[in-house]
Formats: sequence, C-alpha cells, structure tokens
Amino acid sequence: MSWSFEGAREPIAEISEMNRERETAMSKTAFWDRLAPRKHKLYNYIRKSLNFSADADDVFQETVLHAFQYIRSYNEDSDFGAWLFGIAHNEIKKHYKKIPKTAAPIELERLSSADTSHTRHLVGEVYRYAERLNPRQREVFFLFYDGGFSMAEISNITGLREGNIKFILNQARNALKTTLGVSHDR
Amino acid sequence: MTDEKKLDEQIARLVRSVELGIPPAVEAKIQEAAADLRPRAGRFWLRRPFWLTLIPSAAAVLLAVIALLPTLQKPPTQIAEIRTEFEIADKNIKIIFFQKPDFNLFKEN
Repeated sequence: MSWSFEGAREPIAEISEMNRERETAMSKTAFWDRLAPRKHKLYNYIRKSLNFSADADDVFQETVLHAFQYIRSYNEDSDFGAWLFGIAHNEIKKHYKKIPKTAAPIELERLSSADTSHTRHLVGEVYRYAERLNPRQREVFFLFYDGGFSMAEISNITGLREGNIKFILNQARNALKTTLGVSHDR
Repeated sequence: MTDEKKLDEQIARLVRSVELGIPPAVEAKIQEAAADLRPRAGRFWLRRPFWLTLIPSAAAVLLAVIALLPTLQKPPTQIAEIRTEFEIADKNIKIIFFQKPDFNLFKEN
C-alpha cells in the first residue's frame, strides 16, 4: 500500500497563497488608512528639515514607499506616527550623507498664513534660525514645534537622549526669546 | 515654566503657520510606485527575536568547551630520567647517576 499526498498538496498551496494575498491586501489598505492623517505632517517635517529643498519630494517618496514595504515589521503596540517619522529620520540622514548641504531659499513670509506683516516677519526670523541649525538640531526643532512630539517621542524617533533634546530646545528658546519677546510687547 | 510654555506655543504657532501641501505629482508617483510593490515581511531579527534563542545555545557551547578544556589539554610532561655524570679525569673514572620516575626524590626514609 502506498501513500500519496500529491492531490492534497495543491489545495493547501492554493489556500496559503490566497491567505497571503488577502493578508497583503489588508496590510496595504491598513497602511494607506493609517498614513492619510499623518502624511501632511510628515511631508512638512521632511521639507522643513531639509531646508525646503526640492529633494524633499524624493525623500518623502522614499519614506512612504519604505514604510509601505516594511509595514509588516511595524509593531502594533507601538505608535504608528513615531514609527513613520523614525523612517523619515533615517531617510533624511541618508540624504544628508549623500548631499551634505541642502538649502533652497524660499519666500517664507509669502508661504505663511499669518495675518499681519509683523507676524510674517517673525515667521521669517524663526525659519532663519532653524536654517542655521545643524541637520540633527533642525530635525529636533521641527519635530517638537511642528510635529508636536514630546521629548520622549523625539528620543524614540531620532535615537537622541532626552537630555540632548532638552539642550537643543533650550538653545532655541534662548535664541528666539529676545526676538519674539521684544516683538510680543509691541 | 509658564513663560517657557508660552514661548513654546508662540514658536509652534509661527512654525506651523507655514504649511506646504504635497504636490499632486508626488502623490501620483508614490501611488504608481506602490502599485508595483508588495509589502515585504520584515527582517526576521526585527519581526521576532529568533536570535534570542541563540544566546542559550551559545552559552551551552561555551560551557561545554570550558568543561572539556582540561581533558583536551596535553598532559603535563613528566621527567623520565635525570642523569648526573661525574668525571674524575686523572683517575679515569666516570660516575653516572640515573634517577628514574620510580625514584621519589623528596621521599624521606
């Protein structure tokens, strides 16, 4: 008597292939659904961290595609935003390794939604300060003030210690205090 | 502390007043590129810490090596023979002492 599993092998392979397809489709949909509320914030973080360079579009694309490809490595217990911005941080770092100087002078005052010319001037001052920072400091600056991440989250994204983040933010406060404080009294 | 918070809020307001939209061309490019991609399984060491199981195995191998080391080592060499020669030249006499392993050098009678 001979035993053969030839017939049984094919349906099992088919089912597992179907499951894999279904799983892929699910993770694809879940990814775009999760990305949607965060993509503008992500795009702005990349663009601002790269000093409004046009290369930011490519870095944004790389970030999204990388996240999409590795969605399965995302741990459901952790914060999706922090995971996504962590990928963006790595892509920004990679970009700075390739092209160390990235800057594109743009009319910030024109882009700002601020209502008065004085506020628009202050926006320019803040962004000019950010432009002078080194890439890592600039990332921390924008993650905190633009992204609204806490120091613990920034530490998780960038791998920097909270003490270093606190130091960078204090430097920014001290540098901008005079400019903003004087104008605030007006 | 409140001053710091106020300043943070003011900086955040100014920073957020500049908001750039994602160019439609970029979004379209991403959608196009993603259509050809398939989510990959994450790197296995990130997905599940399989490498953790290697730690006890490595420790077991290390312990086995430590335990076997004395047996694998060469046995200490033993002196097989001590030969001492005396020669009295003018008498043409030669005295030779042999000390063999069965001869206990430090044994007191």
